[in-house]
Amino acid sequence: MLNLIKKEFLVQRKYSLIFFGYSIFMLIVLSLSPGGAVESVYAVAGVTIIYMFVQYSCAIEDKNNSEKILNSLPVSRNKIVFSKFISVILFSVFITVIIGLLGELFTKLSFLYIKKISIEEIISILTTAWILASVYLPIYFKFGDIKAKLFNIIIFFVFFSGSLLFNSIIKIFFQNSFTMPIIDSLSNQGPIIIGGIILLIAIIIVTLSAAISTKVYYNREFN
Amino acid sequence: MNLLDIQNLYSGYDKVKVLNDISFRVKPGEILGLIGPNGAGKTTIIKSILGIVPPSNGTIKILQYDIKENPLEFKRRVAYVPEVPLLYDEMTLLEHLEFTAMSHGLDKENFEKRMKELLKLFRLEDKLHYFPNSFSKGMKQKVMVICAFLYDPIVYIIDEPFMGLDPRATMDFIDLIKLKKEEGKGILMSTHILDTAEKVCDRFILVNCGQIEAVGTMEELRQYGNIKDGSLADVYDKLVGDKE
Repeated sequence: MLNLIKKEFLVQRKYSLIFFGYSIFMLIVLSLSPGGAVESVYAVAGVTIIYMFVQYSCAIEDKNNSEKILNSLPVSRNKIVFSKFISVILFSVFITVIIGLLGELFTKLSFLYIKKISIEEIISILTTAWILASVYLPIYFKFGDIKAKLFNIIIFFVFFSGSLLFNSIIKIFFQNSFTMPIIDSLSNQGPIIIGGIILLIAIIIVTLSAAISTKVYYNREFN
Repeated sequence: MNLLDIQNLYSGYDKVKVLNDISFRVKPGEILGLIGPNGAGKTTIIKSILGIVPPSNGTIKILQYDIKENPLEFKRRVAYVPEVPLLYDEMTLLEHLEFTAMSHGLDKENFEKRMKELLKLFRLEDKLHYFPNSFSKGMKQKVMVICAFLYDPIVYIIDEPFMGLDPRATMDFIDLIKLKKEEGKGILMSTHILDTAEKVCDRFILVNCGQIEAVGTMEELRQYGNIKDGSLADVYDKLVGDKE
């Protein structure tokens, strides 16, 4: 599987400068934006770049019609799926470190009005990006990149335009008599424990997504 | 003993049946030519052998390894040269070769030895750090051939091998196939270039409309088609051409 993970990074190396430049650009633009953008500067920058990585990764396979060659190699379809998920996880950790270091540098230089990256922000980048990838990748493995791009529009619509709906769901969740005791109990915990629980939920979602992807990819035919 | 053994294969895409009860074998040291018109099912046979299109029925074995029951052991013993070069535009020639070698568990020493030999044979030594988007179609096809001959399978599946290759590369490629045949490897070669196939292949399988029309040596095909001293093109015309 190491060869597949290595390949994932090799094929995207020419975009590494774009990712790096985009990280700086996003940090600058979001920190200078009026309103609450500065509060979510790391999350928006991180999630956008990680999602770009997922998109490029799938688009490159489709463009090069590489599924036929990958499937003729002595590599199981499970490994082809897992390598995609593992490379997304590795990249998301890598890019979180990069934007964290950039934020640290900008703070030291007093270049921008942004604070250092916090544990909560790191967790919000990783969980949001992983959940988005967990929705996108099974669709890609089932239908290929072109059809998955249609779902991508829906994902972005929900992600950027569905915040009102999301807020309502959160309110219902927090005011529910069943969930109230759990929320109360959690609110007495430290941010690391809460963050850990959220990260654990994201890991469960990624694991479920990988299992679904494996199942749909196993039966896929390539014309 | 057969290297590749296909029995009662049914296969297709979604709900469209393409192959209908296909059975044939490739023996050690044999080049089997897969001949037929466009849409006859040649590529589907190849895709089924490679596991790209899962067969709906039947068995496909390399030695004792069944593609369904033991796909990894099966695929370790097969090499594939596709009709259209399938390369990552974003990876150099060297990276493609390393990726193939790593996937087949080739050790570094053997990899470098084989790579040098093949790059020299196909005159691509100076292109090791180039990206395929700067290659011609023929050069890309050479890369696919080099990838397939880098490791040591026992069965070679070759789809339209001469497409895009220049005459010298074609001759080198034929020599390479003959060398592998002498080593006891089995080769299944799909091609429309009938005169070359007639010179290179030991036996032929004529496919039409997803079914086998005839299997045999040149002499057996002539007898089957009732054509005395005819070429493969004549036999093809008689057995398949009329039904296209």
